[in-house]
Order: sequence, then C-alpha cells, then structure tokens
Amino acid sequence: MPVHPTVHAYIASEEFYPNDSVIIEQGTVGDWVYVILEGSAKVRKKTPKGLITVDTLKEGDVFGEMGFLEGGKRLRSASVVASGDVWVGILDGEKLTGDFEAIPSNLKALIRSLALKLREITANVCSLAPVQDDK
Amino acid sequence: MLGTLRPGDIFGEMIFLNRDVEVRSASARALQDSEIEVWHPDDLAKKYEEIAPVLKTMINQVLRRLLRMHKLLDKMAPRMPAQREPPGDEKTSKESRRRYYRKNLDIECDYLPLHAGKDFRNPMKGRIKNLSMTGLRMEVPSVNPSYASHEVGKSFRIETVLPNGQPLKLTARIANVHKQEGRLRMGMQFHDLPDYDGTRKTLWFFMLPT
Repeated sequence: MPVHPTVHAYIASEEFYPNDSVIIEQGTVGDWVYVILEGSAKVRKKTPKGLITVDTLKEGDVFGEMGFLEGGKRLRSASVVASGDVWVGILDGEKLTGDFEAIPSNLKALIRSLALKLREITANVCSLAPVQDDK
Repeated sequence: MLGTLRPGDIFGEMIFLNRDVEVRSASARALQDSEIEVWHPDDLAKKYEEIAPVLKTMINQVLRRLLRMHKLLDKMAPRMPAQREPPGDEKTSKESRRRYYRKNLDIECDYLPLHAGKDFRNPMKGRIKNLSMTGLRMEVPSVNPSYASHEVGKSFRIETVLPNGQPLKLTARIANVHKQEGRLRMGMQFHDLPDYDGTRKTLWFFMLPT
C-alpha cells in the first residue's frame, strides 16, 4: 500500500536505514512518528521470554504513533528494526500535535483509550506467545 | 475473558471508530451494577468527521492492529467458560465457546419467508430465545414447516418488539435446526443489518450491559 496522501503531506524529512539497523529502540523516550516510504521493518518486543516479532511493517504503514496518540511522552513500547534497506519519512510533530489538540476532549479520550488498549493487548499477546527463534 | 473495565474506562469505541467492522470484537458485560455514560454515536461521528485526515489514517491503523491482536489473543488465550457467558438455562460447551455475547430473552415474534408471495398473508409465530449482534435463536411450533420450508439456508423476515420497547425488524437465514419436544429450535444468522433505518443501532444499544 503506497503512502496515504493525507500522511504524505506531513512528511518533514526522510531517512535511510540499512538492513537490521534499529529505527526505534524499545524503552527509549521518543515522540517522532514515522511512515515507511520504501522497504519493510519488523516490530519487535523484548519480553522475559525473549524477543517477539509482533508485526511486520510495509510501505505506507505508520509507526511510532502509540505514544503520540496516548498523549504525553512515553517510553517506546517496542523496537522497530529494518528488514532489508528501508527509507522512512518522519512526520511533522508540531503539525500533528496541533491537529490532535484540536480534537474535542471526549473524542480524544476515545482515541487514547484505543491506543492504551492496543498497548495492553499487545503485552498480553506477548505474555502468551510461544518463544520465537529470531534474534 | 480479555479484561475488566473499571470506572472511567471507555468501551464500544472500536465499533464506533471502525465503520467497516461488522460486529463488536468483544462483548462487555457488567460484573456489578454499573452506571454507564453513553455517548451518542451521531454527535461523536460529526466530531470525528472534522478531525485531521492524517489522524484518521493513524487511528485506522491502530484499529487494524488491535483487531489483529484480538484475533491472536482469541487463538491463544485459555478458555474461561464460566466467565464468558452469563449463567444461562441452556448452556452447552458449544455455547460457552461463542465469540460474541448473547443476551438471553424470551419474546414473541412474527416471521414470514423472505420471498413470500401474496398467498402468504398471516405471519407465523415464534419465540426469540436469545439475541446477539450477529444472530438469534428462535423456537417455533413444529407445525410451522407445513406452511413454509424451514430448512437450513432459508431466509425469513422477522419482526418483534424488544423488552425495552424498541421495534426490531430484520432478515435472517437458518444456520441450524433441531427438533425438540414438539418444537423447532433454530439458530439464525442475520443478513447484513441495514444502517439507514437504525436497526444496527437499536440492536447494539439493546446489547449493552444493563
């Protein structure tokens, strides 16, 4: 799926990541939101049982948005690692924050609740998932 | 069971934010008497239309991931039948495995074959025994098949009034039939619920835990 035009308009800069390099590191503070322009990446979560790949991102997928939607600075909930060479776009954070702040408060609460649920359910799935053999 | 809701928690937002999802992905049921503040979907929908498209794209993506995780969890989670269904009179292991919440009830309904001709003037009578977002169970007198075929796959137009006074009209097809003690028990699956006449809304407001 190509980058959605509504997302494209927000791309402030582009970055290149070679195979296996880390785009987002779990546990660090960061609020940039990215979109995959070319290539793919894996979303990996460190758990007591080992590393678990929870998702594979393709062209057009947005990532890093969880903390943003939940509001406030939060630690990155998972790592994102380039799977092959990847070009990503970095979205204009100020513009995004401005748009988000303009949302009526009960709708904002709804969206936060959704993001929180995704965070919780992903943690749940990871706690139940069998250990995978990838590094 | 996926989780427990506490004061201040929001639920039902998945179906609101994702108009493509046919049914609620999980059911919410009150464990204790709860007060629920209901946000009217029309008001929210209007506000939602006004938010920046880029945010809608992001929200849709979160929803897709959330649904995927729900499915994964559903596959992996150990079953807890005692907590999945309210204590019902006809609980079988099959029913406790059900994915969507069903509300038990016992109300009369009128029903007609979907493509009944003019010669079919009087609707048949049946009783709706339970209801979900996707279907219902109906019990009918065993003479009814002599008026019209009640085989699996046959569709009917059903009309009833819910216990809350809301009229409900929909069409459903027979998914399974069992004969029992002079009655026919049918599991029926809804055809697509129309949105324009509020049928879906009526149904899901009724399905909210009380």
